[in-house]
Amino acid sequence: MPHKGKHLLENALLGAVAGLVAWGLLALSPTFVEYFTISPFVIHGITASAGLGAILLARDPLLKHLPLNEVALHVFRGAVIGGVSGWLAFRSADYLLAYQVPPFASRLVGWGVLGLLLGGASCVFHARSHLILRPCLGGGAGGLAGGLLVELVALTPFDGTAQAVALLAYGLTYQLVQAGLENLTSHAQLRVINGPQIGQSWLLSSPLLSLGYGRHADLRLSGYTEVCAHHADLRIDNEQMSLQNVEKGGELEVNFRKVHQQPLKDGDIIKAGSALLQYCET
Amino acid sequence: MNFWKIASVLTAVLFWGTVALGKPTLVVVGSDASQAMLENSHRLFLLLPEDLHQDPYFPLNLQLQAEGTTLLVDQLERRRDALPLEILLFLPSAWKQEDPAALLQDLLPITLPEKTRVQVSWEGGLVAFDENLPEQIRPRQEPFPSALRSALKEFGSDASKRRLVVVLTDHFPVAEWHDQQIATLLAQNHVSLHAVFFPGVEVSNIEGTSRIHRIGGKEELPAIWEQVLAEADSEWMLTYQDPNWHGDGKTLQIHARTAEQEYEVIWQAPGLHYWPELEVPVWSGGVALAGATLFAGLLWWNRRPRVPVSEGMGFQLLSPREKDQVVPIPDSGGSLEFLTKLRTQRKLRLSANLHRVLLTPQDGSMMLEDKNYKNALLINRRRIHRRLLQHGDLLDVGEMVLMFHNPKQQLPEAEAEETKPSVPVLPAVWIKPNGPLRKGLPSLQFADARNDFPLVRNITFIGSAHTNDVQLISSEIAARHAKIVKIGGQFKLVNLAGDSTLINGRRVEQRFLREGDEIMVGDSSFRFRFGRPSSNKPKPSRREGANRSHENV
Repeated sequence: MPHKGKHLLENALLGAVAGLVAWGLLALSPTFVEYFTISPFVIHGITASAGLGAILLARDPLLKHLPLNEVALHVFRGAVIGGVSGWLAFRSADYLLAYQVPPFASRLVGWGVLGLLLGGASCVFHARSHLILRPCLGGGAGGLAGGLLVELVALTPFDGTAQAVALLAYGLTYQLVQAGLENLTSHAQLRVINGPQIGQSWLLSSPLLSLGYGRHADLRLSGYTEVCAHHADLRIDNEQMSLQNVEKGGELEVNFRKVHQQPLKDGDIIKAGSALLQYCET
Repeated sequence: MNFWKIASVLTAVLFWGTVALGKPTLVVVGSDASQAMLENSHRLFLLLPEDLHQDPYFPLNLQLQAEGTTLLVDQLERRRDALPLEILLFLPSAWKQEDPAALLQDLLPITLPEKTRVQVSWEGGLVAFDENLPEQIRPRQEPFPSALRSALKEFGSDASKRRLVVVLTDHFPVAEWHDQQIATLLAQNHVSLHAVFFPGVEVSNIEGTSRIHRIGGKEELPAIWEQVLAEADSEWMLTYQDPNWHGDGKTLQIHARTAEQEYEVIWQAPGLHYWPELEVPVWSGGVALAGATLFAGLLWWNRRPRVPVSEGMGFQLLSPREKDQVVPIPDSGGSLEFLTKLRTQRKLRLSANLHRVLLTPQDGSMMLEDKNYKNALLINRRRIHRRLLQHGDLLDVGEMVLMFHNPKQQLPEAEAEETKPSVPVLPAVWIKPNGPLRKGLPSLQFADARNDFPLVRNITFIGSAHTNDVQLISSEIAARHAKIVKIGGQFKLVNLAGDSTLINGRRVEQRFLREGDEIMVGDSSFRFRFGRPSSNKPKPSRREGANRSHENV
């Protein structure tokens, strides 16, 4: 099961979809851009960023198959955050330009800042993720790489098609860098092997992940009995993934034996309430 | 926004104030970078004062710098000698006339230089006045700045002409007559803009904008035109080499010196227009959004839960890093030998004696039996030699991890709900009397149970929790549902939860029980028998009750 390859592919496709949304909004923008008095460069930047943010920040609900109403909520929130990030990013590019920084460099900075802000925003709304530096830096790197591609495409006659290609390339590169970094830092996945979510699997890419049915759980189990909102935590200590029952969490079994805290090894079967999960190293 | 506006205005004022204080500035009309990609050769259009180009050292007295580097000036010539003039008149739609020539004579009462081409654009459309060209009218219904912008876009960029846009108007519907986009368009298309306002124009934000002429009436038009054309004639075209051209946003610095005067201008090429007009129809945006939504939906749908499909009983392969597959088990059973023929991604070690592990059909499932006792066989991660397999049981056979699937035991939720009432709920736990039973003890009689359940305590609690004296496991029975209390020689049923405690079909809160009363607690029903316990019946054991109940669940 080449799970990491699939992770990369899915993320790349998602990035391309984000680029397409950005381009679609840009193509629609002549209908509303002229009502704004700020520079068209910034307005277009905001429009494109809103499109990118709408999809990139809704990655979790999309790729974890959460209910569609939640996907819609995340898309809307992502668009707003993307728009604000775009304003900050391209406004700063605008200012750099005013200070005689070459346009190439200032726009690149704009794209990088956009990536940085999107990366940061993606983990701000993650309830229990304590990391902010890594997604931020990853986002910044992805944004710079994507911006570089956009600039390369912009060397050609930058017409409608080229802009679509540039935005697709930006979204794709950004997501590829993010997913690649996640692949580098993750060594395991969790697979649901019974019940309503049978067949779903999650890459364990963060040093602390929560399991439960609650809206803020990183790994969400819905439709199972005896699962708590925050049932258990998965954390990495010294490269060893371990499972820990939280104070008020429900019953937790590893290999059908009750546990409170247990280091996991390849192939372990985790039972949380009525849900059975399999821990596989990749 | 206000903060940024104020901050940028302050910065600009400070910057210009310190750099250009005391020196008269030159006016840059526009630039042309259309040749930039090929030849690194650019053109800049300037207005140069008389004394500068009459200086004996001209054009050597002019120096061009970009970001600290001096640029090579190829050529400096009068634009009027090199390029023909083209004028775009932008007029209010109310002035539209059947005979455009008369209108033109009216508004342009001067003799124009040779080869001059005039176009007229209305607020409502663009009309070309050219003998060779048919009249083109493109109707437009737009507010003013947008109409001017569209007219400028249609006028286009043409570096082979000196181009002027003259707005003649007696009204404007909006206060904003000129915006940043128009400024960018003007500079990119190297067009200079003049506005001639007739009485009646109420525009507030024109203070400080150059090239605005307010006139009292048409009689002043010739003088204005003289002025406009004189300015157009004083334009100079400077051709220079810049190998490091960025395309747009470049800052140029021009110094000029005569014996008496020094001139300077710092000018930033307009641009930054990263997203020049997308030359695509608006509907393509909608198509792109719809396509993106479809793709995102596909990605979402691709992650749906996937239930392994198996018609009969089978083992789902769950070993890490193996492809998901279900191996069917023949209905007649057999040994586990067939696992050795299974194709896997990598070689999984299996026990040598799998032919001694037998599967025999039993009760709609399979009985697994290890005849060898030496196979490393785990069921639900425990060493077991014999077990009737249940749906979802996990088998470890050597390195192979398998999950038993039995569609017969895997009833859909709704179906399971429907079949529930037909299964009688029997006590899972019963108080075991600590000795021989007294004669004449009342008891509870369950229809499907082999035994009666005597009431040995003064208070008998009934509910689904294991702390009750009579545990009835069902989703419709509360943890502590009811109690039977002995009062004197009589027994009283007291309801403790909800409204599903019934005696003879009637809901009760509490009532003394009589012989033969039919009691319903949730979905479990039993009879109350007063006395006459049959002594020849064996006592019900806790274990038996538990087993029966599990079978039912």
